[in-house]
Amino acid sequence: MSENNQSVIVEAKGLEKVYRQGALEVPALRGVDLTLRTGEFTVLAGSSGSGKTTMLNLIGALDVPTAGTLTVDGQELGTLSGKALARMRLERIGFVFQAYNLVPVLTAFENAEYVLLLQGMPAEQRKERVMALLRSVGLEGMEHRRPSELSGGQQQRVAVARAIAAEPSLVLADEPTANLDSRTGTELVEMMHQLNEEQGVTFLFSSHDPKVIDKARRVVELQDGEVMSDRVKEA
Amino acid sequence: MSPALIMKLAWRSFRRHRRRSIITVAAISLSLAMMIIFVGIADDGHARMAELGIRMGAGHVLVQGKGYQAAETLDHLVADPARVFERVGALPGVTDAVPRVRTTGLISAGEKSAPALVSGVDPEKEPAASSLPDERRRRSGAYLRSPAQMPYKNMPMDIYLGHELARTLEVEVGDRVVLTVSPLGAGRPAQAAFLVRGTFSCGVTEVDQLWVEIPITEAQRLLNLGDKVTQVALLLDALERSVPVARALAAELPRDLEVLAWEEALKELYDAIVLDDAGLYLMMAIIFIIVAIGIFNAVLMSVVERTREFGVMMALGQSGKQLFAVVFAEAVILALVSAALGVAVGLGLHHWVASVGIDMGAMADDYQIAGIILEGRIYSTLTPWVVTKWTLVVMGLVMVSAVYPALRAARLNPLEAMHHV
Repeated sequence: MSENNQSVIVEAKGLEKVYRQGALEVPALRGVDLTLRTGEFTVLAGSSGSGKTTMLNLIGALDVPTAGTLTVDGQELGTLSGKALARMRLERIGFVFQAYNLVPVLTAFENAEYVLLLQGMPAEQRKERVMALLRSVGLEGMEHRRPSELSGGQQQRVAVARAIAAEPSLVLADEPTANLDSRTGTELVEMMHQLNEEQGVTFLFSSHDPKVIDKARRVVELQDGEVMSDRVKEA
Repeated sequence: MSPALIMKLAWRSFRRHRRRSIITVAAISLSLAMMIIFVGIADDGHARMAELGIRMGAGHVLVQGKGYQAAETLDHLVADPARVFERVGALPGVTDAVPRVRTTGLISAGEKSAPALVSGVDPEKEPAASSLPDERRRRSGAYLRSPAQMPYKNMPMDIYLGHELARTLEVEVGDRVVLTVSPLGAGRPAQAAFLVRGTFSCGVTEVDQLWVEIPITEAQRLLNLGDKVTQVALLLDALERSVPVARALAAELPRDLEVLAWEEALKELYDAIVLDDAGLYLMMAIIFIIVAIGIFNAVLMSVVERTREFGVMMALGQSGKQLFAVVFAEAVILALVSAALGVAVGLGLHHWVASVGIDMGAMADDYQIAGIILEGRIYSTLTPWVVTKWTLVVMGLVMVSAVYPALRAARLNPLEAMHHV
């Protein structure tokens, strides 16, 4: 797929984010420009405090920038209300968190189904979709297990299934392998890469895990809230 | 978000911390069960007291001359009692109607004398309306005979009096007493001799010390009333009919008559019952407030513990309103489970007390209202409305207690919530 055929999914211009702790101002992002296109498998790399998670939170409509503009899937986030931002997250963005963050009282099936339920998808269609997803992330036969009955890797697979269930425009994964052993982490990255290749799911990671960085086709390195390098690997 | 998903999440969260849920449910259901049984016992006790008061010379409904209740003088009479009896006959729920003449007087025997509350009654009808003629209240002798039942003409009529009064006068059955009363108009006091036919004891000191009953015809003659009476007392088949019957009758009778339900006629007793109820409700209100604080604490703790979980739900696109619904649904489940259990326990206790009863003998001195002592056993009386009302109150309390925690959940910032420790 050539770059020209891919539509822009994220466009950040002069993005700044300053956290205030009393009288103290802590800049997390300092004028970041970033464009992401559909189908990308990109990682925001950098050490702790470089601004990776802040960037992901802004793109994920979980936070608002202090300055600059941020457009996600054609919507300028700065103009949206809290309700519209929630709608945006529900319909266009999938999340995979470092700590899995599954709903503990729901089974694997129900967690993967959760976003579809919020969207009001009919039951039959929902069931079909979730079963296919759980198969694709290798969790067939574990649908009825609660998070407490699954390993860390299995929980993260459920989280991936939940993130892509509603076919979002973009999946944001914040340090998804940080809590996993290296073998499980590698398997998870492989699985997400496969989803990107086969289903065209757009992934944006924040990670400093070499396994994720190696697998990414594009690596954007952040340091002290600024883009230090933006490297696209050769296919 | 469908109601089914909201209820599923709420039900599973409710079951997540079983021990806490069980303790909270136990506290709520126990409070409701206590309320049901306490109200059942109190309502039964109050109804029995009201009936005792009513059967102690009053009635469920009284028809009197206008102004009699306030003045209690012969200036306010029922001039045409026959007309009242005619109207009363057509009213539903009326089981008996009896005429009475009430006045005050002086009763004497030899050197002894005492004030008396005189009640002229129909000796044949009065036993159906009053408990004073009952054998279980009688201390000696028998109840009044009507003039037609007297063995021979011109003999003194019967008098039936409280045993304390008889003791004051030092008289026994068969002794002669003289009653002095002030007749209608400015005439001289009227006197007549009576033979003590019997004595009674009802437990109310004032009644046992002052009350005398004589045949109504003799009272009318002494007081120069003709066919007039001071009141017509109505007995009903149910206590709660008193106000509607009184209203219906008042609309039909002439305006020179006043119609009083027992709640007005026995105001002191009614007010005392209301006060006793208020005391019960106050006690239960305090218990409910303590329970409500417990519920508030349990629900708030549950919300605080799940802050991260709620943050994730919001990050996934769940709105604050939907989150409010999830937390509130937990309170609805808590209320429903507690109400079901509370009603079951409360009704179980009610059926036990309603069939076995509680012996008031041991605590009779403690359980008296407006001079009326509740004797024997008391039971529990409940209506579906009483159970429904208190169940709804308790359920409402649970739900109100959950509003703030639910609002707190709804107002979470997803990002901050996900980082909550």
